[in-house]
Amino acid sequence: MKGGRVELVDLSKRYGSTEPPAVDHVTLDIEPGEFITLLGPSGSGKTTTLNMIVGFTEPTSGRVRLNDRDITQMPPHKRNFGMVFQNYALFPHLTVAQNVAFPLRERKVPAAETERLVGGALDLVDLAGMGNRRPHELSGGQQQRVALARAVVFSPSVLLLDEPLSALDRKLRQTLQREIKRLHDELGLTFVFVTHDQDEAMTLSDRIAIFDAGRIVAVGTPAELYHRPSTLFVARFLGESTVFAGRLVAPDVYAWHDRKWTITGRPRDGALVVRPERIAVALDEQSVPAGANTAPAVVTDVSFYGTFHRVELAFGDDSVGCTVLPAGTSPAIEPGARVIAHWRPEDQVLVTAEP
Amino acid sequence: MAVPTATAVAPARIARASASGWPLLLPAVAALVILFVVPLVNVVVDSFTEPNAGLGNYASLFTDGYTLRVLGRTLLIALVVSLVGVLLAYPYAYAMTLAGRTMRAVLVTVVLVPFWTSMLARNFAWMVLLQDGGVVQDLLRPFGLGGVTLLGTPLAVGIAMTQVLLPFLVLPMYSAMSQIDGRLVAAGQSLGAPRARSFRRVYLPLSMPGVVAGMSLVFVLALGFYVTPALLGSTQTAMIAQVINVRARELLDFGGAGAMGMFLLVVTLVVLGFARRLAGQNIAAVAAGGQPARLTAGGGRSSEVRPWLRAYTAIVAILLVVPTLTVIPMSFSASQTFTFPPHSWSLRWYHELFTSPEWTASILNSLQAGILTALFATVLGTMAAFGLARVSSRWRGAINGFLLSPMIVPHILVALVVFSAFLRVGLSGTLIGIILAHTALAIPFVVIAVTARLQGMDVRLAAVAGSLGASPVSAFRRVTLPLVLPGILSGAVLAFVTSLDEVVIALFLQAPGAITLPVQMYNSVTVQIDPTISAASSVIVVLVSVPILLAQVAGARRRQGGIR
Repeated sequence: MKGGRVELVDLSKRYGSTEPPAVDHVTLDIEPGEFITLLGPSGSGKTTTLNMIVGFTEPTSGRVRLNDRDITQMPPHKRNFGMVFQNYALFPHLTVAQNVAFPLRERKVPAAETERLVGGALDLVDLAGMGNRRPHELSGGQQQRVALARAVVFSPSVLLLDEPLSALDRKLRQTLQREIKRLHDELGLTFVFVTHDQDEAMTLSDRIAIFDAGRIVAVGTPAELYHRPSTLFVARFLGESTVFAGRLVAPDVYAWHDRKWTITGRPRDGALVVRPERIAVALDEQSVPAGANTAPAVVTDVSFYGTFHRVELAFGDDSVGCTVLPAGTSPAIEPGARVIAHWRPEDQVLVTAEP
Repeated sequence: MAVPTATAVAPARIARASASGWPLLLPAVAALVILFVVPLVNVVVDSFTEPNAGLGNYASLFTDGYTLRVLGRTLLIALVVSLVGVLLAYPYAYAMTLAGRTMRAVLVTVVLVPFWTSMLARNFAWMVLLQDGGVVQDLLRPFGLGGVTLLGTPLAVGIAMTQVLLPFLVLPMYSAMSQIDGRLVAAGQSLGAPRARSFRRVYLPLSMPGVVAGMSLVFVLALGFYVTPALLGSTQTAMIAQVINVRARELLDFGGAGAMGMFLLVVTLVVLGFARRLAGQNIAAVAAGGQPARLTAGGGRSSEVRPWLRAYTAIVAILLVVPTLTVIPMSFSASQTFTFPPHSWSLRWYHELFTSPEWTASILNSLQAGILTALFATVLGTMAAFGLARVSSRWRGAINGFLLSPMIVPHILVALVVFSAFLRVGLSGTLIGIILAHTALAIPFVVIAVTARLQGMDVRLAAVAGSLGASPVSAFRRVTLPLVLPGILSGAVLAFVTSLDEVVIALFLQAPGAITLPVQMYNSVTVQIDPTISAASSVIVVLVSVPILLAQVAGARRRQGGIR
């Protein structure tokens, strides 16, 4: 059996009757072999949800199902889920090999087979030959690889990862992201990944479930959520946006101060959001392409990021936004310059202000 | 994890560069040599020469039937006490790591109160509870064991010693357990181990250093215990310390007493050395892989306290405090004898405590001894701690070990050693003799408290003060001293309490005019039957518990406030 199908049905967790629920009626279908990320700010309920999937936390109500079987009451050690913890949780009194062999010993795997599987798992995470070390002799990145090997060595049907990279520096994080992605491709397991890092979620996931205040506020592929966010929260949480707080005055007209902008697609009364790479700036009205929506702006900052320049814009009414210009073009704009921001109507999204 | 290690090392490296610490170490080292090492050597020499030169005293240790029985009994009682103690203390210490803030403060207080309360008060309480017609006998009556005599038997000694020494087991275990990342058990479960097996394969091995540390400490303390067997046992079932006392003080057989003392010392050193080896390796692993205790909350279901653990912890907590608390109702008894529960009430024993010449003199003597001991030990110990931070690391370990050595030497041996030495120079039977001996005992507490503070402090701060224009003296006064002061003060309090509660040495050195409160209490149950001891015990219990309780509550409040 490869990846398992996990269904969360109306799952809730309350810790006290007076406190707001930690997880509030969460329903989510996780497909076999899928890489799904639970993304949200801290305290949004994503880790509690993960703990209910693995069985460390008992839900107040709702069910957890694995391959159409109810496992809500099943103790963690019988679920056969691999789990990678935030600070690795390696057993300090055991060697690397003994750590990886731990789940095999629990499953009474014969010694020779254990040795083969441990060797294979350490190979898989590029730690061949490190079996006799103690966890504290390894670097943070190596410890996390051991944790990965230990969590997959017994061929679980689902691998749960609880902010596994948050303790590592940026460079190492990127290396391990690639490694995790490769593991997912090679093993074909269902991955449930918890993080508060939107870039990590974007690069790794097949789908992202965005959590806010104990609820899932949006589920979709990274591209869907980025290009077509449904709410202001999603737009702001995932990637950067310029947000205009105007209103819909006709099915195809959005008004923002004295501006009237063209609407294409489904009209929705709320905020108008444009992603940075969709905004261009012109120095005068003549350079603006026909049909574009425009807004006057003042450049407040230009910063160089290596592959691009980031330009911050201030609009008349306290709205701020930004755009990016490829590096190599030397931007003729400097802080203080008055410009006209413009974008194509099909590149803007109308979002509901609050879910 | 590598980062904190690096910063922890850095201050030490800077400290090493500054002026030599030898002059600061000299007074404390000299005091210990004069008060302790030279007299110890004398006793060793005596053990080979008195009354005849040769190995006679040692040979009789292992050939004389009576002595052999005493050694065997002592080892057996110490072993049973430490084993039963582990069974009581382990679940309690584990529950402490799982408890919430308030509950943890309560559990810590329950351990600390008996830890600091007068040794004599606790033994006195057990004496009354275990006596014929006492509460314990009443409780056993329904089981058909009502007529069984407890007081004066090794069983009574074992029960009281286990309770008295329990805090020494709980505290090291708790300290080892709070280093363990609670999620490791959850990790074991996620890898397929049922909770109980995950606990056995992961938590138990990781907590072993604490178990070994606590058990060896209690074993060693039990070996040299004097007060409990003297009060609750009998001369027919004596332990080593009682025999040393009789040989030295009544028979003036310093050779024989010395040989027994050496036996005690050698066993102590072997056990502690062995424990250190056994626990040492794992302690490194725990320190490297362990997470701070506050992270143990992870994995809700796994860290919930099970009902049986709750019940067990409650029973151990009751065992820790309730026997001691019985002295309070007893102190209001009107009876001329020791009875619990009392039949009639009065305040006469409090009146006696604060008006009778013997009791008031002993209170004043104890306060005088406590204050002077605190003063001497704090000055010597603080200087030594600063000196230790400044000497090269090559010497630091050895000198630190030497300065702390009075802690591990059984008190009965210290008593024997200073008694024989002070007898020669005329200090025996004087209060100053008691104060000097107590100072030697108390120096380690000050060294530990101040060193802990110094290590927790960024030594670069003094250099920073210098860069801001402070002279070295002014940098010390304005930066270093205020930062280290809490350590110095807690060292002083520990030294004061050490002297106030010390009984064995004070017993050996006593004379009319040099009787401290614990000695007066001891005499009031052995020489005469004077219930004033119950009033004295109550006063001590209340005086010690209230500050600990307040400190714990304040600490819990502060932590709670800090998190919001």
